[in-house]
Amino acid sequence: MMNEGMPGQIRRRTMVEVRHVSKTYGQGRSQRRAAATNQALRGVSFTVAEGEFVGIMGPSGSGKSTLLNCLATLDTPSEGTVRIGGVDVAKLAGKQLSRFRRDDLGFVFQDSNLLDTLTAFENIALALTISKTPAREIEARVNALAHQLGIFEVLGKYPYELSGGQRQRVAAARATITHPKLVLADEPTGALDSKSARALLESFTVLNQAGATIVMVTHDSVSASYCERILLLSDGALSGELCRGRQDRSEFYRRIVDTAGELGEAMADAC
Amino acid sequence: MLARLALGNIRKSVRDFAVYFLTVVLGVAVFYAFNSMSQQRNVLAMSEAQEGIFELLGTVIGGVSVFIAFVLVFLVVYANRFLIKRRKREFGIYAVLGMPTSSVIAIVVIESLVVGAASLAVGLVLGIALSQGLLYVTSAMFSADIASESGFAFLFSWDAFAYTLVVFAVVFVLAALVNAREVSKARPIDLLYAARHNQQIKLKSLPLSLVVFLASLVLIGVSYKLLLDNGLLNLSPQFGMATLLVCVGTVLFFWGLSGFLLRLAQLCKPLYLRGLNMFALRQLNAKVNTTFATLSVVCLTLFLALTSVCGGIGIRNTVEDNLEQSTSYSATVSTRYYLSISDGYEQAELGVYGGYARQLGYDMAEGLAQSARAIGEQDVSALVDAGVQVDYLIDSEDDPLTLGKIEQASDVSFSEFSGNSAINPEYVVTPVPIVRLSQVNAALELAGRDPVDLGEGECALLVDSDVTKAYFEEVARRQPVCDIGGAQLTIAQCIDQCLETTSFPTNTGALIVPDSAVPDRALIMASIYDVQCSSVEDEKAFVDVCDAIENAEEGSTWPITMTQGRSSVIEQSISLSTIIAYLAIYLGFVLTVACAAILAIQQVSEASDNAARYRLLCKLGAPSAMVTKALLAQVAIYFVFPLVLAVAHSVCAMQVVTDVVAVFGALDIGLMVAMCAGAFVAVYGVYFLVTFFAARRMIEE
Repeated sequence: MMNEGMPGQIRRRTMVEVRHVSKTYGQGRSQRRAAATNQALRGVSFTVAEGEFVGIMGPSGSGKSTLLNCLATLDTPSEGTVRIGGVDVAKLAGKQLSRFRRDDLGFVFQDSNLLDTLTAFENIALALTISKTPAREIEARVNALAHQLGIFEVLGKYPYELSGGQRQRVAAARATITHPKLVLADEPTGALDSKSARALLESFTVLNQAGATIVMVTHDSVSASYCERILLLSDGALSGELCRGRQDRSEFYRRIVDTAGELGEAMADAC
Repeated sequence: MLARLALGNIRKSVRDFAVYFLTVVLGVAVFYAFNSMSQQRNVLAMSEAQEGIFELLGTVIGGVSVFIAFVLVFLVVYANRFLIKRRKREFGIYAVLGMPTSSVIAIVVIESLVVGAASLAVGLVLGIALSQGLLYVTSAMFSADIASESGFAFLFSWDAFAYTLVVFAVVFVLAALVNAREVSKARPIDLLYAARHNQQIKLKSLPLSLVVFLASLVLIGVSYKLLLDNGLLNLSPQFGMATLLVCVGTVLFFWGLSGFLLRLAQLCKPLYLRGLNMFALRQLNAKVNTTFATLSVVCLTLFLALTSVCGGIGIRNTVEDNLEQSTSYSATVSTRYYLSISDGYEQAELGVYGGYARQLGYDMAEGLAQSARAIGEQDVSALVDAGVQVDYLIDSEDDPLTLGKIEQASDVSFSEFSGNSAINPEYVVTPVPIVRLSQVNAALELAGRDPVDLGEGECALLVDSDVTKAYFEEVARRQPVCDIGGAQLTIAQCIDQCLETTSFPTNTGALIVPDSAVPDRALIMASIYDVQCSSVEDEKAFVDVCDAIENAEEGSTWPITMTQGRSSVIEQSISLSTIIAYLAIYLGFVLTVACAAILAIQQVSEASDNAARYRLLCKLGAPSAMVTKALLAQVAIYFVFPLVLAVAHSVCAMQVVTDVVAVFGALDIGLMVAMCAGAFVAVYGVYFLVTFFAARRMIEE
């Protein structure tokens, strides 16, 4: 608890450190509801190294979203600690918390969550203007990143004029433009056709190779196959881990499908 | 069951209802308070004249209230539609769950009536308190004490109570019907997806709104110029044009405003790409299609409210300022022998009484004394301490001195000088009577003022009406020479003095000449007799005697045209102008509340759409202070711009209204602007704050 800021440096610097995290909903609120407690996470522990691209997979109700919300500082664990870049996020509040979200985290949501009133350019630039980046720097940075992600041509358009895939890539650009310590993606391909999904995931790979640490929640095996490592979550606890290692993407994909299939059957048996 | 659901809904959406509730409460309170005003005469010790005035006030307020009732109906129905729109989804769910439409309607009707009844009750309590406050205001303004011995009286008007109850019952029933219709005509699918339908955003072309905005400024400018050039004294086509242009200009102004601001900010990148400026401006621009109409209506209504309140309070202040000058004597008796008509003057029909006056050599003091004795009234000389007669003479029957002649002599035209082409061109034949210097100085001495000093071969203009004062001052500055009965006299000064006690100073110009310069053939046009009495009782007795003489049937009594006593002039002037001021405030207040409420309701209902956007900003790590600032800017722009434009319109209009009010005396604008500003900022500010906090709570949820 007290050794804050200690860098866990065995090989690469540890970016995310999750220790015995549990989350219980509806606990001790009132007599009536006490019976209806729901344990979404049960003692989850893992680490993510700097520059890693990690997927979290699991069926509906396995606690993926709760885990991501805890990482995203949108929710707090009932027990255990979450450290990002060495900072215990549970201890952040008020201004510190919003500064942490602004400078150290980037989000990509399932529906791109772009502001419908702003152009693509302005949506990306918003992340920079909030952190009070000088105006002359903003334009250059947004344009450069847009080139990398293949959305430069559509920067002047409003979200409703963009395709789903373009919207998600704009969202990805917005999430990474500030060079956050950690990019969190929640089912980013959920609402996309396979071609757009592939383009987005390739964008993630580009961003990852440029140094971004990405944690992506997904239930889609294709999406997962772009990750370096996959944490399998089931019934609120980690049930396994798949590392891509030196495998190419299609081999990794088959492994994922096999494992996910077993998991799915196990889930079906449990019900 | 339905009632429980309805009550639950009210409790849940109490914040949505807050603005609505506040508005209805204020509406009810003001409606009751002003309608109960005529009852004040039962509680206050008032003179007969004041009671009459209050009866008139009651009637006028009753009439204006019909208009106010329409405004309130519109407001309540408008507010209800917004509240319903916000909850379409909820009603859709009821419908999907299989609740019959009749039950959904029942819920809505119960809700409307419960909120209506609650706000009516609170409003009436507040209204009774407010009417009590108004009682003390009137008591101070009319210098009328509360009649009861304890000095306290509780004012309650059953009539006003019933009137308010009936009007608002109708308002709420109407609102409930509109709500029911709104709900019943919608299909569940629409209701469920209502929110999604709204998300269609149409963005306007920025260059177009820029052009429109600039065009609106030009239109407004042109209409100001038209109004200032042509005035308001008669309703010329230019006035209609100015009105039309200012309306169109205002609508275009709000249509183009957000686009203009956006473009302007985009030109300055460091400003645009800073914090949430970009977001706030886009936010404004996205909503302009739905809000520009509201903003225009609000702006024009505010303009109407501002002008009526300024004009009303202005008339009151003006009348009060003039009072000191025009009530220097205890009483003034006047007799007119000739009347001004359109092409000169004609002899008044005085019958036998005119002969009597001629017989006495037009000596009013003697005539009044004799007449009083003749009809058996009190001895006039015992009531009067001192009296002075002033005669207004026509220098020559065939070719009298007129305003036209003075124009010629001074080479300055009245209509051009006053810049008012709306004046009837026949004004040039208005006779300018002459008065003897000795009489003027005697009257001034009686009023305790300094005498007029004329040099050799000089005369002076005497004026007390604001319509011609400035013009005659200019004439005197040019020192023109005029011909009075063959003598050449130089107009050397302009004397601004009122030589009588009168409700409105209406001497638009007379010429003071040395006694020796009065031609022998001069006719007596009118005489006034100023008196000073030692007490108010004597003054009243004197006026009573004069009124008796005026109405006497006997042949050998003095012909009196009018008698004005100081206390009744003061009473009437203040009463009349107070009525005008009260009415203006009543109207202005309700209109301001209506405007502020419309803005507030619109903003609060939009905030729910915006909540998702603001929450996203928080997720992106925008500090809450920054988000709050953006929200504040957004709400402030909606409240400030209509007000600013309305104030600009009003300032322009007041320039013109001043001309009209000048008939009553020069308008005293400075003080009243401060008074109005205070009252407006208070009401408007309360709504602004309520709106801002309601919106902020909504995005923080």
